[in-house]
Amino acid sequence: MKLSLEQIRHIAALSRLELVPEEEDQFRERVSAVIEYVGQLSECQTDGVEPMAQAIASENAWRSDESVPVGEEIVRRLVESFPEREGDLLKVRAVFS
Amino acid sequence: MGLSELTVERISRGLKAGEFGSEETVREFLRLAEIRSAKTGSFVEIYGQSALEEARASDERRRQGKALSDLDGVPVALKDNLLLAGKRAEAASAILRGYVSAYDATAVRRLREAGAVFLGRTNMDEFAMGSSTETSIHGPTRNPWDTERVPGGSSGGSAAAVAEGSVPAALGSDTGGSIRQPAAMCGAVGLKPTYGRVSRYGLIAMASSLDQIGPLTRTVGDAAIILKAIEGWDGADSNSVRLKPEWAVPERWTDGLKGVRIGLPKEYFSSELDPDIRGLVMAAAAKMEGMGAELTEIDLPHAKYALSVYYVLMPAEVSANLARFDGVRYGNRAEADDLVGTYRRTRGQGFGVEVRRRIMVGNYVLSSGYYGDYYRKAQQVRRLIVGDFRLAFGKCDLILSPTAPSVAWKLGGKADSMSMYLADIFTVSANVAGLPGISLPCGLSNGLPVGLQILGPHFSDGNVLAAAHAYEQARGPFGFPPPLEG
Repeated sequence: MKLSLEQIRHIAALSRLELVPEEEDQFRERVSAVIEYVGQLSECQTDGVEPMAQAIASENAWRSDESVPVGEEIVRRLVESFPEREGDLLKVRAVFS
Repeated sequence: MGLSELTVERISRGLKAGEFGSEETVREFLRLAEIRSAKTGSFVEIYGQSALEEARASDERRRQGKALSDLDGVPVALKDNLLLAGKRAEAASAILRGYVSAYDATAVRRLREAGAVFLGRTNMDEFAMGSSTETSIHGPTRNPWDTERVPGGSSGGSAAAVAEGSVPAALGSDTGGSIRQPAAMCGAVGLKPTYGRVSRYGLIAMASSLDQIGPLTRTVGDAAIILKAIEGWDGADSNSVRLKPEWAVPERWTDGLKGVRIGLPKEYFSSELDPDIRGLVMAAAAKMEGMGAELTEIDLPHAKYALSVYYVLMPAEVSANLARFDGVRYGNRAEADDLVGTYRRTRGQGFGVEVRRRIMVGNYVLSSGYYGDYYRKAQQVRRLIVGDFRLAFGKCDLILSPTAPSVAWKLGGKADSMSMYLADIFTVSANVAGLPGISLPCGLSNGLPVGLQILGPHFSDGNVLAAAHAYEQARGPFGFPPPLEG
């Protein structure tokens, strides 16, 4: 099933991806090719089969809600990796306009 | 035999006996890595100074009789998606260009605590999404057996580095075959441990229910040594598992394969399989039978759906994991007029074509109206595939197959085509089902390595390694590609 241009634009928006017009056509082909391929799954009989999220059974891992101290060096590196900052503060665009 | 041709095991013995020092060893590997990586692009960064400092510190520990482990002083390389504090980790992506790791991944920390010396970081497909190591911002890696060909992927840099003799061992990550397939194509050994055996903390996540870190080495014994150093429960990865004593990698290898039942899935040996590859894998099976193994044909009736299951679940998990790359807290940012515009421009410019394709596929299969037909359906078929393996492992102890359906192809040979995805057809099932799997060389087809894959039930990594080791002993040394120098 080939996706429409509108569908591609919608998924790109959901995916928070900016596409230029030439890319819209390119991704229409590329994304549709995968969706067509995996459409094969519809042939497989799965009535009554429980979905499986993890192949190895695992239980919820709990830990107490407390902060874990890390070394100054780690903090320094994390701060230095901010794309934009003022002092040790992370600078972001206004969320509310 | 030069220092650089030695295995981890042999280097470890030489260091212990005082035959050579770590500094001398590391210096030689650094020299060769510079020369060989210039031809293949196996490394994206070689740590000259810090590696020599670590080597000297290791030699000092030895002098004082305080060696940390058998790996103390042994050089290793890391894939570009593993965090090593203070060094770059870019996942071969523009969005992370220049990113410096704040801390060590758990597997990396364990190697550091064992005294291993970090020689450099190796090339990969962007965010580990690819089977050829061509989608990297650092440029492609080339196969040391034929530099016109790809090394496989996504851990192609680690596989090439080990195969060309630039480093005796490297870590990679395997989400759908990314350790085993490049190991096969470069003539190296690659192990994907059971899901949960090695902590994923500090591995730049691709698909969390499938990702696993593992070693690429030149021998099975070396893969076992590295696995023992990095495995084990970790509170920072809630899917890591406390290992039971009976799951341990054996301390000593047993000779032969007496009584080991080896299953050959008939679905993997179809008439379409390359005859050379079939011949080499069947010859390996016959050799194992000669060593006492019992061969039996098995059925994996849902095997034909494994790749489709993978190409729904993996992109879905990718779309969630890569949501964190939004230009806010780290990575590169491309400004637009408003916040959402900045997210979109940052991601549109920072991710390559294949990464964006998978994010979009993931969001499509998870979106309202399609979730049931794709994501839920794939999770149901996943259960059927796991069930196939459970039944099969009632009839056999291990499963044997080719690692990949072809040898290494020419650079650009599978660009922009679904045929690249088919390169993982024999490897994805192990990730979908969480099984341990190894690839080791079983011969050459037209001068290019062919890999043999051995899979086992959950946490049978020790048995998988033992069988691979027995075969390797019978096969004899595999050797190196023709020299790249000159």
